[in-house]
Amino acid sequence: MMFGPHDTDSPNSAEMMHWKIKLKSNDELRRRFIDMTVEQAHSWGLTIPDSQLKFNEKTRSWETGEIDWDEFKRVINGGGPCNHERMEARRNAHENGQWVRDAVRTFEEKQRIKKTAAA
Amino acid sequence: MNEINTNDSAREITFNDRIANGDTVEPNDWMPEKYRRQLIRLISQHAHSEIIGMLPEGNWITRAPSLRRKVALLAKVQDEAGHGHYLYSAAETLGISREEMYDQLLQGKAKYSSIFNYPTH
Repeated sequence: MMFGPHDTDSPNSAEMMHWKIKLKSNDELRRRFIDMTVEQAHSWGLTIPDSQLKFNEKTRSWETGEIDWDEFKRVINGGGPCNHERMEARRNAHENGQWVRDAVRTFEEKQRIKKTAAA
Repeated sequence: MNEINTNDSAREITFNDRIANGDTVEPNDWMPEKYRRQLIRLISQHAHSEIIGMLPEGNWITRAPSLRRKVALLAKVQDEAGHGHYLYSAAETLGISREEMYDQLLQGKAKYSSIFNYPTH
């Protein structure tokens, strides 16, 4: 799911590829990642938890079971196991860091006044 | 108004030619508004992912088995913050403020990599 929705379901892909902002499609990037990672995991003796995973001799590529796109949509829309926790951590960090940003601004302002007075 | 439109479409043709020729585009070059918006969306999304990505990695600092490994992991987490800052700076050159991008994240309007919404422990 790291590489976003299916190419047929990716709202920005066509425009991004037209402008060459994006050079490879989501599905193509996902396929390359899986091919690379499966080999790596196997070389370390790990098993990928996908009972439908198999190597296609013809395409020389790994095929996986169907991705749960409902889960994907649920997670990007805030319903994953840690969405709330992650955002809460960022919000706290942002609020607790307000005094630092204020201090930087005050320091900059003081430096500016000093500089103007000296000029 | 018509003149502006004509100018813009002429500029867009030149711009598309540059893209087709594989030219690079600098922040101060003329670019279609939609192109600028897509870049800001992409770069800020990447920046947010770096910053949010620090959280699941950070969970492992207390569990790293030795002081040396804790220091190594701390440095790795700090690297992610660095990547985030570079990316926010790059997006700022395209005409958006860091505060605005951060607000979009905190209000849930901007996305980040969905994999970071899974626990790593």
